[in-house]
Amino acid sequence: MLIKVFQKGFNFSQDGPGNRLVYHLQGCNMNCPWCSNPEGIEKDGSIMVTEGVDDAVCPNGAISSGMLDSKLCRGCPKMCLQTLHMGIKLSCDTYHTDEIVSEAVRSKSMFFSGGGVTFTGGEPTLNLPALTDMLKKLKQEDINTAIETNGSHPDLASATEYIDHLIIDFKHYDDDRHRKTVGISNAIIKKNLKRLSLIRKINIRIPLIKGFNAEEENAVGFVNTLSECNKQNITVEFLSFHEFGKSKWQQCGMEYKMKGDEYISDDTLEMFTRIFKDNGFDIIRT
Amino acid sequence: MNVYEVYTQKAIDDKASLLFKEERSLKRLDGWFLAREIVCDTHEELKDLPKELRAAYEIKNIITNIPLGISENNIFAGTQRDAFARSYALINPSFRVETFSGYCDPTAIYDDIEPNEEFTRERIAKVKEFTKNTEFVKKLTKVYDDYEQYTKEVIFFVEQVTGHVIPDFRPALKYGVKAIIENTEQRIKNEENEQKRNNLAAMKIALECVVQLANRYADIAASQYKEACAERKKQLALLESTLRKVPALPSENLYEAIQAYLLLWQVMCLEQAPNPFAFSVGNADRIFEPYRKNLTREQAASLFRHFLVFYNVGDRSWAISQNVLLGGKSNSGVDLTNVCTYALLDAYYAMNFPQPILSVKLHKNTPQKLYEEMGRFFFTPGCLTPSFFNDDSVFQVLKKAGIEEADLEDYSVAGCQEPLIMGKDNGNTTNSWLNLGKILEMTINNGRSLISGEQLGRKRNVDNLNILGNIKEYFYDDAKYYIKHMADAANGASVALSELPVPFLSSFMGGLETGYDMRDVKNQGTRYNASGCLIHGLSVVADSIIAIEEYLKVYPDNPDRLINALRNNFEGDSDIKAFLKNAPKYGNNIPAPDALAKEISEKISDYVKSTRNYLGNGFRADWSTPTTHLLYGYWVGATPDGRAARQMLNYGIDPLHGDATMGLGFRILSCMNLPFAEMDGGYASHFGIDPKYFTAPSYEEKGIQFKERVIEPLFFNKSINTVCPYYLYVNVTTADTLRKVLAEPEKYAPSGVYIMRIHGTFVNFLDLSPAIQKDIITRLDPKSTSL
Repeated sequence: MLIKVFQKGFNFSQDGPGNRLVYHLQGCNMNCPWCSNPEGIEKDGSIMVTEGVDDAVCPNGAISSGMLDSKLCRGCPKMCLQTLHMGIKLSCDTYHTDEIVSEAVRSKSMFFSGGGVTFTGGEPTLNLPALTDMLKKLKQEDINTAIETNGSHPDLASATEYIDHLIIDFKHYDDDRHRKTVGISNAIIKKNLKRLSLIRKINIRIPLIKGFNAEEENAVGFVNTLSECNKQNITVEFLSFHEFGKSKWQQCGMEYKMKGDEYISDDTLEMFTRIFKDNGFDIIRT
Repeated sequence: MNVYEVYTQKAIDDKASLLFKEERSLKRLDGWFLAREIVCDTHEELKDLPKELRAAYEIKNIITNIPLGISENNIFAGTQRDAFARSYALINPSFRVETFSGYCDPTAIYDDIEPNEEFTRERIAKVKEFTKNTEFVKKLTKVYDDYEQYTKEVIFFVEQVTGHVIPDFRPALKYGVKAIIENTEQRIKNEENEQKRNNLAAMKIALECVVQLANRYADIAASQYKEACAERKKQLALLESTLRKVPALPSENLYEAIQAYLLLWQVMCLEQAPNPFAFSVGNADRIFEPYRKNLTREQAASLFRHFLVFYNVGDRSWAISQNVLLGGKSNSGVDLTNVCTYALLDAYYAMNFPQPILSVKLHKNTPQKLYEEMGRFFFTPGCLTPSFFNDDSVFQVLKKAGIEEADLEDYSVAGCQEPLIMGKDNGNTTNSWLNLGKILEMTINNGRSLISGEQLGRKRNVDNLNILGNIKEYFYDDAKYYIKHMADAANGASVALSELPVPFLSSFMGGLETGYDMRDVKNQGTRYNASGCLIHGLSVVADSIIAIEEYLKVYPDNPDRLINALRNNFEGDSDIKAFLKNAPKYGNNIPAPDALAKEISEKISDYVKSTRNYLGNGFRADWSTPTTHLLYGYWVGATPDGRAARQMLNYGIDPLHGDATMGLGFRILSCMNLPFAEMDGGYASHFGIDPKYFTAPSYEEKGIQFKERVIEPLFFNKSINTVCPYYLYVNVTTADTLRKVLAEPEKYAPSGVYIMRIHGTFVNFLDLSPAIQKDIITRLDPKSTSL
């Protein structure tokens, strides 16, 4: 089976415990305007430039001061992508799932402090058969596994027996706000959260974005929705808004819609933490 | 009398700080010139003696006549100030990469002296002229003349190696020098071989020098006593009585042991003045722990503060690369950290001096406490950080290289990172320097320099496609060719140096057993002997060969375009530069370049080790580039990995800065492929690590995080079946922080000292030349070490 990866590397204890080899799989079914990896949204990949690229590499002038404006790539036969090592490339590379497993096995020596492999995205469950294939083989190699998913796949439960650490991002409890902002309904997500929390541990991550989901009423809304889950099996983590991915939106030829005033204060974070704790939730910070 | 009956601990600490301040105020270092002048003035009367005896009398004359003093802040007598000049390039603000010359003129140092009323031009010229006409200089000059074709743009470089060993002074502390002299007298009586008899006589005379030096200092203490206040009288009385006792007699406490050690060190350095860089102490904690007795860790630490001040010479701590080791394990695997280990760490942390450099030996059973106590060094901005050696691997590497099992625990570090056995190993560590980047340039361009256009190397009568298509094989062939010439030149430099025997040092390097001087080129004076070869440009060459292979896949019929692009430093063909730059690079856990880097390091190590030195012993493969990656890179034209002409080469075994972008995990995985067992001369590797990755609240816990996230996966990786890496130094900071320090030193380094590591040594970042400051910032290379 083939899988598209747009980024890979190690990080420590950010997406699962210990030192982890993290694969970002190409393609996402949501369109979060704050996404820090917009190059991972398109299922076939986005055109990107590498650092230090020469502006002259594109004869159509799509590169200026090392930045690509891929709107100018529309209609171009994209011969640049056919030539190796010119500084222009697709955001993702295609691998056989066995190649990923083999790389992970070679990296075993780096999985210290309880580490292992994490699949994130994009949305890693978009290609669920390939994902499951890799997870299964990693478990056969006795490698710790984690996925970070938006929880929207209706058959997510089928893969969980191969997942040691399940991280589900939950953007908004209100279906209308969810649909309008990220493009899809949250109904399946809520169903997955409720169902899976009955049978296993889940780390729920909530990105806090001012103007979208970071008011006190939102905290109460999240608490009400998540109270339908088995609290004994869930931990909640808040992620503060940031703009690390801002420059990549332009490079992908996509409009960046955040205004820069969506950062949350320490007080907001404390308020969310307090309300969740008061309602019996276990709050974690990784 | 106990030192703590005379001084309070605070008084000792205060004096150490004041003594360092005094030292940093010294803007002239003329002692080395006086030493050479004494040799010059007494040459006529000594010239007919065998050279070993002549050398012994020369050091005797120096010790008799060199001016000495004791500061009111000295609790110990002694200095190594008279052995060093204010000239070491890296900490000389006037140093420029462009001015490096592939020629080592031992008389150039005389041009660095600023003449004044006392040291007139005539006086300086006389000693310089005398030096120029010595056999040593004449022979060395001939070597440089003969090999200039290869050294002027640094295909390779050679030098005579002074300093760079670890003397074993332990017997002198334990039994006293007098007992060693008596034993030597006995040996002389029984020795039938005349040459050996002369050599032993020379060693005996040289050993007497240190007793003479102690007595001269004792006389000064006695003289100062007459005018001193009551408090100082007690201090001087202790000093005088100590100096009358040691190092002649056995040391019986820590104060005496340190005093004895410093005087031995002083004579050793004076014997090789000027600039015997990189003598090293070895495991100071093991040397001194037997003498600590009832002193507490804190009391010992205060005495060690003065020990550390001794290693700082003049206004910029000019005696560089003197290495102090701590920790490690015994031959049977028992951890050898002790109270002095921690006392020395305390002294280092309290003083934060640019010298001496600190290295810590680790092994899989190193106590957690040692990691906890090192946390403060990594995470205090501007604080010195130890470099690390992995005993579990070093023992394997040295054993494979022929070191006897009983000697393994005594391995120490000469200078920056070369492992040698204390008191037994003359490794001539910096004897030769090989520039793989320049060799590849010779291969691609048929021996013609891309920098000067001169024909420097050999030609092949084949076309460009043939060259590029067989680049790896031709490169290996050329490497063998130049290594042969390099070894001949390096051996010539060692022969030249043998004109300057070192009977004092030889006494502590096994000479008293063998009867031969350690520099003797016909008879081996030390238990172990080799010559070093520092190998430059591993990743640049590996990545270049991979890039050529990638290029031929796309442009199989157009080799000239690549060769012209290199000749023109990519001007007018930025497409090709981009192509080459984006080809797969070593350091990202990509199989092809990683495998090639492994293959190159295996083959070149093998070629180097198969080459014989003046005694028929092998050269040692040392993959370290002590800032010479900058100097030698300046003489290398554009390379097929996309590196522009005159840019630096990669550092040690590390990827070229900017080429490893996948973070520390992948970088370590790439590094793990290298054949560390073959790197018997050492290697260099640096991680610039952002402190933000260590989030624990205390220094101690951060020290443990550092162990878990950096040291354990690199050094003690259970899933690696081959020899794990064995050396690392780190700078835990960011480029932004360093730029701020440069912009506002008063704010970020109010003491005027901001310690960084550069290669194996510490430096005050603010003392460095701009080129070196830039190098440090560039090589922090955060993408290669992100966690």
